[in-house]
Amino acid sequence: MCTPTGEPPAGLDPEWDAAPCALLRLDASGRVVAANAHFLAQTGHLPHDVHGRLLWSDLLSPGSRVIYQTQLAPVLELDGQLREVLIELRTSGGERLPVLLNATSVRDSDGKVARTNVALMSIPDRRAYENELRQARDEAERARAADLHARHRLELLTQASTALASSTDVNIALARLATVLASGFADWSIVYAPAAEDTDAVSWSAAHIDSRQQLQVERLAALLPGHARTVSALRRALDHGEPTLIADVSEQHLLASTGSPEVLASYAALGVGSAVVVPIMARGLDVAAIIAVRSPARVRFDSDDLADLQDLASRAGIVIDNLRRQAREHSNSVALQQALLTTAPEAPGLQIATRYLPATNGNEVGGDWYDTFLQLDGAPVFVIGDVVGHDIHAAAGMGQLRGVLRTVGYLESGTPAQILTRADAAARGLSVAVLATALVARIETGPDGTATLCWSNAGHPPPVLITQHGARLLDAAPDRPLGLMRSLDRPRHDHRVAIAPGDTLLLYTDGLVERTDEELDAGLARLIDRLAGATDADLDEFCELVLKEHSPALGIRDDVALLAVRVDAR
Amino acid sequence: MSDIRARNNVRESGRRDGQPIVFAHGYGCDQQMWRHVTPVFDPDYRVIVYDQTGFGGSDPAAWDPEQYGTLAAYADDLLALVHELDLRDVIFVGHSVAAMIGVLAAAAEPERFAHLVLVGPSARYLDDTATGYVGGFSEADISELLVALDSNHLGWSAAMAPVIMGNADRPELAAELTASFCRTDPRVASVFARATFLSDNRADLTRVPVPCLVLQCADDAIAPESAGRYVHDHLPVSQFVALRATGHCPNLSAPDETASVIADYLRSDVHADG
Repeated sequence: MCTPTGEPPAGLDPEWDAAPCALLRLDASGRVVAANAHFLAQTGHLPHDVHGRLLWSDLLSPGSRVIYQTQLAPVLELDGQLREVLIELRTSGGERLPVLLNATSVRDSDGKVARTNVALMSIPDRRAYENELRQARDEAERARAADLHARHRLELLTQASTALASSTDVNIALARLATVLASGFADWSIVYAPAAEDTDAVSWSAAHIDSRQQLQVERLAALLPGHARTVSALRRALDHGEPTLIADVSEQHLLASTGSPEVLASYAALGVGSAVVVPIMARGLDVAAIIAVRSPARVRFDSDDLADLQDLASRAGIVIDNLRRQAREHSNSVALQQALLTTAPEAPGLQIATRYLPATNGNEVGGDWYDTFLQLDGAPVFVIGDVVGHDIHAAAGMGQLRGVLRTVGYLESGTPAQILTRADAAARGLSVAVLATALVARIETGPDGTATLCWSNAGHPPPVLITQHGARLLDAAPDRPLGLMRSLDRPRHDHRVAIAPGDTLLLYTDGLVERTDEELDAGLARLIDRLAGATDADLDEFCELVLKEHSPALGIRDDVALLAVRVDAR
Repeated sequence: MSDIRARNNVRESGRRDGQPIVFAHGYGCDQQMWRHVTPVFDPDYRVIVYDQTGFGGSDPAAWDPEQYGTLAAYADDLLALVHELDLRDVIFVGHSVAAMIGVLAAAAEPERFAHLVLVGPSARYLDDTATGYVGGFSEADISELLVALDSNHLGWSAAMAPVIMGNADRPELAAELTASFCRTDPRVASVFARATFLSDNRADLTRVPVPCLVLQCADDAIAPESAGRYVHDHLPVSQFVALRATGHCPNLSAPDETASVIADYLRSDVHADG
């Protein structure tokens, strides 16, 4: 038994008090029957404070009491030992003393625990170290959570921006935006587009994360503008450009926002837990809005989400603005260009067909042109050209250059090389600052009635001549492009080839053969293959064959202009 | 949810046609807490033990921190077990916090239960100064406990690892048992500790129209006698028995006494009914 003098109880080793750690002996019920001097010194307890006490209820901190009883005692009972368990002792002054506990139980002949020997090692350093580790772990977890949040936000913004940027049409852009929003950020979303310029109709796109609810959300989208009261978040966004975050949407919110039983039923069916509504401000006065809603089961929207959606809305506003401007410009460019592409004149003994396909991806409207006229002496001249650039400036430059070529070609009656040389000079003198490739061809008829094709090439893709013997490129080395001021002194060259009745000449711009994924040469080779033996087709069929790989539905990257001339068969 | 037998590691023994007696473990370990007690009931009863979701051999995937943040979820599990095994006339024996899990389940569906045996119950661990209720823990104590549990996460697996070592004294113990006993995912332990030690089920006691037996240990630092008395005083029908066993786990430290007190109570009830 533990005595006030600290002497070991009978049967204990005399070195008991000299052990380099705190030692306790517990009886079968967990009461202290002996404590060594080390234990008393560390805890400040007097021997009679310890003797007969229950380790778990009297000597441990409250937290350790629970851990010991619920987790440690059962293991000790089962296994007869505990190793390196962290617990806290309560000192005489009420302080906490962290210790590592090792314990071994001794069983009697019945297999019941007779007593338990406990060794306790004070571990202030380890405790501090563990605290540091734990803090580091908590820190890492917080950082990871923050990082995850940031990544989700970035992902949303990236997806939405991609959806917006890859759209060539305002309505498609908004539909994609609604879909992106309703695939995680929100459970459902409605995006109201600005009213089109020439109508008051509000168009919208709606999406729901659960496709089975798509019709429901579309129904609501159609109903809402007509039934939203002035106090509603939607009207505040549309009428005043005010963003709204309703973290917890209550019945009162919904009842205040609309008087329509249909709208309310729709809300009930879709589930409204939390909502964000932000305006999209596009240039000018018109305003659109984004509604994003989470169901009641989801985490509520917070101010970060509102900020994200406002960010998206401002991007959407810019994209909408640009798309509309592009659409306007595109239609202007196309109109201008079409106006300049005149109908070919009647030329005796020749069939002439032309085609022009504008690029379909929005801003790629360009300066391709073709032209045909008869010179003063009656010789037919064919021009195909391509002004560098793909905007309304290119279209305007094309108009000027085309006029210059027509005028000098008509009045001067020179060869193609002479026409191009004079056009260079005129363009410089008249400050027509455009750079273009062009090919000018003339059909000359000899006194004996034989025909010769004469052409000069200003940096343009080579024409194709299709005869009974097949198709071939007229690939004489081209001269410099038009408008290249540095080398005006270099001469231009005329090239000639005899042509026979039934032969077909094809002039084209590079949009015909230049594709994103292949070289010009490969495209030309394919074109030649396709056209060999096409002399039997009438000229319209021939043009369709040439344009076979160009379908507006597949997307046309660059403008394509074609001019086909066939010498009548005798 | 899928098969509850697999999900909560339900084990049965005893008589197939016997009255069902379900043993539920409390905070900290698993069904093995009852291993010294259940054999006493095998000859006369259909004995069922299970692991609370998140503990022992239960399906870890079934545990969800939000769902299992209150005791109601564990009571729902108990009722799901009762339904799925189609148990009626159930004797429920709940240790520690499982006593309140049984109280909640019996309050919800009393027709399924014949008796509740509450071992070391506490309807509220926190003292309530307003009403003079003594649960045994101050708010600071509970806070400290929760922090202590969190702080043991780091050392827990490492600290408990040596326990896996073979035990020459008890060769009958399967290594598997030794390896898994009282090893709880720290996150689960933390959530269950909050659900347990922050619960207040005092108002639920009066809703239990089922006869109950309250077993109270001596020197129980977790559920002091004041807490056990409170439970007994507020249950509509209950008997209170003070065990000689000390501590909070008489099912381990005094399984014979625990089992015989429960068996005597059940037998006396049969006589009383008969």
